[in-house]
Amino acid sequence: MRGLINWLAERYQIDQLLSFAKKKDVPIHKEFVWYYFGGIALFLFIIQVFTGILLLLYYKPGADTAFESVQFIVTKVKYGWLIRSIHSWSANLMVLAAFIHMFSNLFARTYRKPRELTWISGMFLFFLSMGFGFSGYLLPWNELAFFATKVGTDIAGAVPIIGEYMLVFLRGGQDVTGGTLSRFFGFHVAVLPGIFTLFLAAHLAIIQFQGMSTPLHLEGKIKRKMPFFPNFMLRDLVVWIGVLNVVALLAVFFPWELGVKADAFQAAPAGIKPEWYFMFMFQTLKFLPAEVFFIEGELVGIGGFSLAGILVVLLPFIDRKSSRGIKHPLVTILGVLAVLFIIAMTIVGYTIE
Amino acid sequence: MKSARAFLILITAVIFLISLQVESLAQNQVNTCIECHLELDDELLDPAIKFAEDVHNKEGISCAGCHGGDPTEEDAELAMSEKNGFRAVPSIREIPQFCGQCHSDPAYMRKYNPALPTDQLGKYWTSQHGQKIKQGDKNVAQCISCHSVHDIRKTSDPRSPVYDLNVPQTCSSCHSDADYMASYPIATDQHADYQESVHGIALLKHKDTGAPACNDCHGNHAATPPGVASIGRVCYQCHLAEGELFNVSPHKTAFDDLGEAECSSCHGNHSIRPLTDEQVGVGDESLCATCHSEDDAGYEAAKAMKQALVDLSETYMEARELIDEAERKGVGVSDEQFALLDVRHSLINVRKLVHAFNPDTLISSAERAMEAADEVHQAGISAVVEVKNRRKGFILFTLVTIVLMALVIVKIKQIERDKVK
Repeated sequence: MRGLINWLAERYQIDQLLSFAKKKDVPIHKEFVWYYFGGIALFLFIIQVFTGILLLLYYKPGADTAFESVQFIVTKVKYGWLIRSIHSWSANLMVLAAFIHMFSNLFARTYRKPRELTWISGMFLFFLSMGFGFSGYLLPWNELAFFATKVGTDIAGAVPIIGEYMLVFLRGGQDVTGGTLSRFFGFHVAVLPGIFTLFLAAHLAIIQFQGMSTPLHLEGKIKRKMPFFPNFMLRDLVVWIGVLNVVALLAVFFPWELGVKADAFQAAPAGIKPEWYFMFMFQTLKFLPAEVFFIEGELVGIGGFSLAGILVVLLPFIDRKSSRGIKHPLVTILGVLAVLFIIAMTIVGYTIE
Repeated sequence: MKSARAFLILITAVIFLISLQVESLAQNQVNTCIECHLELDDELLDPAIKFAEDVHNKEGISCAGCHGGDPTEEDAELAMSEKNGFRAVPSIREIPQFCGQCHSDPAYMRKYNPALPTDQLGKYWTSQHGQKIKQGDKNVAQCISCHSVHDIRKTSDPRSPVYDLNVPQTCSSCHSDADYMASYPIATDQHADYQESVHGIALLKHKDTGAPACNDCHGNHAATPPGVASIGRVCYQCHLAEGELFNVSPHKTAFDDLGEAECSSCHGNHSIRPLTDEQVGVGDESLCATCHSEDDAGYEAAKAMKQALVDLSETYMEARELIDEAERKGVGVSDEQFALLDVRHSLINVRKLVHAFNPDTLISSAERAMEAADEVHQAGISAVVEVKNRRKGFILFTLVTIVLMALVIVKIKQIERDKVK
């Protein structure tokens, strides 16, 4: 190992690279545990890339082939059931880890100066993850995914002025067809991974440049630090192995169902539900009355969620007090309300018929 | 010149006003029958209210279409005068002919519904109801007993009393009324029996309009009991394969000789229960043992057929349980489910073969089906083993991860201890 490093060092300036890697420290404090969630999301993303590539070996996009190829993967391909199940479970756990990572940073106000771009790039990674989820959900071309995509793209179509164009762009026509599947496949395996990788590289590079953040309320109280390489990295490794075991447990004992093949001519089955991370928005839109102050209820909902999304992205520039070391209680209150709202609406969505 | 223009304007205005008047007259053309009857009470008011929903009204046939008279005449006596062709309420005996005057006229009916049969009246006279009414019996059913009156709806309308799902209730309104039926020598428990039967459950509980109601076996306008000679033909309308097998079986001539009705002698009529393999063979629930006893060949044949059926059925059920269990636990078994479906179809076919009453044919078919059933059964066992292997694999993986985690933790401790030193 040392010989290889020396060989490289004679030819390239890797000592600079190594010192750059070594420079990052991790503050040690009572809220240390939240540092793991970004790493967990990253690890699950790596699993997604690997299992996704393996699924690509057999998956055939197309209305006549997609369902059959996934069926082939889970019944005939050796360990295909495991790879497919891990891909589905890991995707969901990745979004969950991203949720936790985002809210823990929100409550710790780590988006404050100088880490505004870390926050913004993270938010984009979060939205892209949801895009991965939405596009990937349709790929097995089963009944639930087909109708959920119909409903989801209908919601996009309800946006004023650009809605119709968005709907046609997403569906590749007026209806959800094999054409929709082709472009969702394209988004899922080419467009989104490309953009995601750029944002991920930026996100990680910025963190490496600036070092790990400290929660606002613990600023100045940090007495000890540990080097990221290798101390924290090895701790991350322990957590990652544990997460891999959880993913395997879920994949073996609760394999992801394939359901029945989508049939555009069938009536929509009862109980169509979006992926759980869209549920709170879906349920809110269902609860909104037909009209709110003379505006269509659905539009109010879509507008509300879009505005909330924009405000969260721009949070570092809105909550300026945090950069001056002041913890604004409104951010905590709104954050807690948002978490409670998301949990409550998700539960309601799964329990109310 | 000026006066000529004024004259022209005046003429145009007059023509315009006259045309308006004519149009309003046309729009206000009233049906005095309805207008007057809406002012009356009870049974004279009833038709005026109900007629709005009637299929005849919707087709543009007014009261006068059946009752004659002049609906534009405001004077009630003139409107309902014989001079204007008024026909008052027909007597019960007259009703079939009253409806039949239009409904038996193909040329007339074609204008409204070319697909509607026009043989109802002819059939009706051949029915038990029609024959009794000819003899002067006023209690039997005629057109309006089943179709209602003044609010007659298409038979495809779920509110019609003769819509598929409503037929049993409509027939039973008379046929289940013991007092009403007291003077006729027929039972009144048909509806109660039918409700519990496979046909009744399919129609009334599962709303399967493909299942037979009273009229599908008895006929509707020509309603009559099928009789011993034709009962088989009634059942064979739907149960074609069973009919073909029975007609070449040894039972056909035996039943004919004994004057026994086909189908119903074993299966009953209104109370046909779901079939089980227990009804074949010589056990307590056996239908064969009703006639066959230990010392005849039929007894042995029944026993052999039952054994073949039970073996196949049990293998199928076990395979299904195994495959369902594997599916519940996440193993992909779509191919096995297809194969299972094939075995199920074979089992149904073997069960049908009972009607040939030829044990050799049945047993050889059952043996062929059994080969496929054994294969599916084996596939089911493999699928369940696969579930166990997956779980064992997970436990092994967990052990490996625990060791790995422990090693990394030891490494961390070592690094941090070295640093302190």
